[in-house]
Amino acid sequence: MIRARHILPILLGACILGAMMATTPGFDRAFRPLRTTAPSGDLAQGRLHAARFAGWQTADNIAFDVYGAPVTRSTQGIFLIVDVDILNASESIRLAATWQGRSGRRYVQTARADGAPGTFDVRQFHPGIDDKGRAVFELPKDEIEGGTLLLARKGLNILDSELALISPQGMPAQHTTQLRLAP
Amino acid sequence: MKQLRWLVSAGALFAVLVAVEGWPALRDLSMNREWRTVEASTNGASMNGLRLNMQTQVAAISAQKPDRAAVFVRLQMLVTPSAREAWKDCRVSLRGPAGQIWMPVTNTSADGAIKLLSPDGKNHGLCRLFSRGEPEDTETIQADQLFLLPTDSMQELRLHVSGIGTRPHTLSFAITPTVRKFP
Repeated sequence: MIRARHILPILLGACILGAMMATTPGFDRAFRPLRTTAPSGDLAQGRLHAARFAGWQTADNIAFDVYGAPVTRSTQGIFLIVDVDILNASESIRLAATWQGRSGRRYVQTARADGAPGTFDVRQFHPGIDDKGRAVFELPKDEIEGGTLLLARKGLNILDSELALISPQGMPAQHTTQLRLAP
Repeated sequence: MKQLRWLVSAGALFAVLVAVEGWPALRDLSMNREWRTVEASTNGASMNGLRLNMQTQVAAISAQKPDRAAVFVRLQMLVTPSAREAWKDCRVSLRGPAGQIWMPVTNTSADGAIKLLSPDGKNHGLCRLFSRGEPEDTETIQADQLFLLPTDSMQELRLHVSGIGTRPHTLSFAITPTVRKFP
């Protein structure tokens, strides 16, 4: 009886510790961004800014000018071009966009469109100035429908806001063989 | 009585643990935030051995986009080795009365605008405490910043200048830029 009185608290403590260890979230989960989700066309409000899914289209090739020189890019997948309204910024920020496909895979903006007019890599958003941003992704066609655009502050994002803008139903209505990206 | 002593010991240990864990986090946070503003005269001010004064403040408004202004600010700093040591770096921002924070525009278009608005037609670059060449003992460095803000937010603006080594303290200048209109 006395032995049981000593063993029982130890066993109970071990069980509680084991349960705590088993349910401890990993670093990525504990410090992941705080997500705000908005359906297509609705405004998602984050800590430093708000955003709205403004439009989308696809293209087989894209063309744009960099420092006056024409650039054309083609892809083995498809180019997805998403336009976003950026509003209510309370601090000057740079944003990074990621496309999360239906499969859950995440696609960052293609670096092959860096320098294209209006893309997030060249844009900075300032308080009081409502603006537009554009993200260009290169991805398989079946990752477009049902996807979500994730917008967050550029750089390390720990416990800061991440806006999830759900895309409209179906595929983009506009598909172009060669799309010229203009400001 | 014995139980109370255990409870007090546990409480004291918990407080020590919170202080030990929380102190570095609080220090990191205070090195990034500007909680304590030090009023600075427009004629110049000193902090931690660095002497600063505002040389130029101009707001450019274009007739094509009259709702926004490009505010150009040129700072002149008398930098000593001890000031470099104390400040470590330099961050300049514009603050609005509603808590808005404008950071300097860093895209390529800022260079042309700065050269257009500066009295000598030059862009000396963003605020830094080290000259591009070999650092001298004591030197005068100029720093050029361009901010983009709505025209109706140009009242009650403050220019904050701080460094990693000075924060949470920051120098705060009241600014009233001269308006220049462009066709």
